[in-house]
Amino acid sequence: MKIIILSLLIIFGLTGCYTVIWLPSDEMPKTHPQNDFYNSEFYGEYYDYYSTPWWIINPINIYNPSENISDKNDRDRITGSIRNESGERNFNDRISPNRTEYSPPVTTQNQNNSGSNTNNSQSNNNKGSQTTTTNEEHTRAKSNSSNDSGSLRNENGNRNSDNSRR
Amino acid sequence: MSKKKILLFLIIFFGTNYTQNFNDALRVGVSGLGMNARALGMGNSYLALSDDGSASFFNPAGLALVKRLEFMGGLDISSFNNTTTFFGNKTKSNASQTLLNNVSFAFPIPTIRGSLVFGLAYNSTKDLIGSNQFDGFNSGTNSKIQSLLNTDIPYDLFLTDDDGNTIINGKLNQSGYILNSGSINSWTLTGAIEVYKNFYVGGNLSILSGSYSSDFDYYEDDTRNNYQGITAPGYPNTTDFRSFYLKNLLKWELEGWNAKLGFLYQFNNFGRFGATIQFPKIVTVKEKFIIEGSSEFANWSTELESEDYSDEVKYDIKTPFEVSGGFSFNIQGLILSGQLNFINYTELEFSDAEGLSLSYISDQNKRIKSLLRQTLNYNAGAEYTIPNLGLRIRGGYILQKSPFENDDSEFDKKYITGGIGFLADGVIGIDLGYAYGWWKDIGDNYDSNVSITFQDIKYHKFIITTTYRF
Repeated sequence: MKIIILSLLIIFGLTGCYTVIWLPSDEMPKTHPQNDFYNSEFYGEYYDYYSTPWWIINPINIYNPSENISDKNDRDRITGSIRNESGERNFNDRISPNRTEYSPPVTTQNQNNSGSNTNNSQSNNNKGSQTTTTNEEHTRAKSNSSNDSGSLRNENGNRNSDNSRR
Repeated sequence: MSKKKILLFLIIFFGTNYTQNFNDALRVGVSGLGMNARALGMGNSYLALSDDGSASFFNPAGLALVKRLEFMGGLDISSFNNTTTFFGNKTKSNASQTLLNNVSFAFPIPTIRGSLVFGLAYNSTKDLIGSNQFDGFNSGTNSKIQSLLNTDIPYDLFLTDDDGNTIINGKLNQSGYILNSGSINSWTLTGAIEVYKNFYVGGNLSILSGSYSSDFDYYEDDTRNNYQGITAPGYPNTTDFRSFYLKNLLKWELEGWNAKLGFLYQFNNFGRFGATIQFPKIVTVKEKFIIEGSSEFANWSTELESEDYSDEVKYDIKTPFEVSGGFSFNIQGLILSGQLNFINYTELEFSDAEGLSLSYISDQNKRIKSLLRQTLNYNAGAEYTIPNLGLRIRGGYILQKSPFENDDSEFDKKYITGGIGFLADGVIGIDLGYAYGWWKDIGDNYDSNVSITFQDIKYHKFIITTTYRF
């Protein structure tokens, strides 16, 4: 029994070795080192199933309780309306309907953006070879065509980063 | 009650209880087939994968590979089919059981780097079903009645004279039916962490519970009219012995604990190596042993007073350390895996008995050391994921060597396994696993090598596991 307890203490006392736990005071990580045992080329949906952490798909939002919520909602509405306008223009003029379909979040983009904490949420959510305009369309298309709350939360990544500034 | 009877009663109660022996220790000490359909489909060669809630059973370190919140649940259907050859006669019997075999939750802690995951699981790790039905004429000069002459049972059933001597001398038709049921279950708390890049360590602590029931009806019938006279002189009713019946009903309540330590290393994004140390399980058995019996004569019958022979005892069974190691490789969607498991069954041990004498327990532990052996078991499996379909097909093989010293390979438990799995909406995994097992076994109805059942066993297990990750 002593051996077991000692072993467990050693194991769970080694948290400083490699694993760094996210704390609410830290900025929510937007990328995560990928485990490619289940290569996306062969595993399709299974890749996200095994390899993408839940906090990347559904980022944790930490709000300051003392914040004036009504002010914040106003700001969200303003930002949202600007982005919707942009989306309609791109949708009509440049993007074929097929390309606006939902693409699974954080499948290959994290590989492209790994190691960078300064990228904005749009480039994080899209493949590196696509243009910025296309990227915006993909992000918006997710919001419009899917009820997936994870994609909406990814889109809110920039706003979450504002929280840490407050 | 005569002095002789009192002495015999004490011998029965403290010295020659019928049930505690190496078979009871093996019932707890030999591992079951687990509770995960994906793993079963791959021949339970899962030690170096273990990337779901079943890591609590296979390799706790694998839990650190779970990246999403995960609920898992499963169902297990087992069927045990026994064809018994007894004095040239073949008799078939069957036992089956359906269990809720798994409910688990895995919670990965958000990390900036590495992985830290905790999990809570309820697992049904081993089913204890079994059956054995036999019927045949034993032309030898032995019988269970004679083997019980060191007890009061033949006397109380008027099969002996007042001095405990009997005219019964074998040449009886013997038949019986054994039906076993039950399972060993565990509540397991697991923690796993990535201590170095791609190197994972995990440990768990399990609270064990379970139950087991074995119901054995045994008959000896004078089908050839060899005993027409009086079996108990002075009692004319005992003329023309017809039948002897004995029921052994064994009821177990199990509780205990155990711990497991696991390691897993992933290299080059396509290979994994895993190792586990299973610390000895300490299982407390609360046992009720109930005996019923009767004898029939041409014009009369009598029954045993059950409470005179039934008792309750309590004892611990300590299982050996188990050390396992395995690998898995992922080659373009095809996973190949294999593992070895070492266990030294001579370290099985009875201890802390209440209602059994110390010398009896010591004798049983010595028998374990002389009858059992070390074994090296192995598992092999494969899984192929069909690209774009999300459909996975699996196959595997399991070899569990017989723990008995002198058994040859036909007594080893061998299983071929298969399974399929698919993913719905990227969040719900559904897996089906099947195992077909076959092996031989023997059993003595009494004494040794005089009334043996030769058993040819076929076993089927079907598991369905559903996983929800979000």
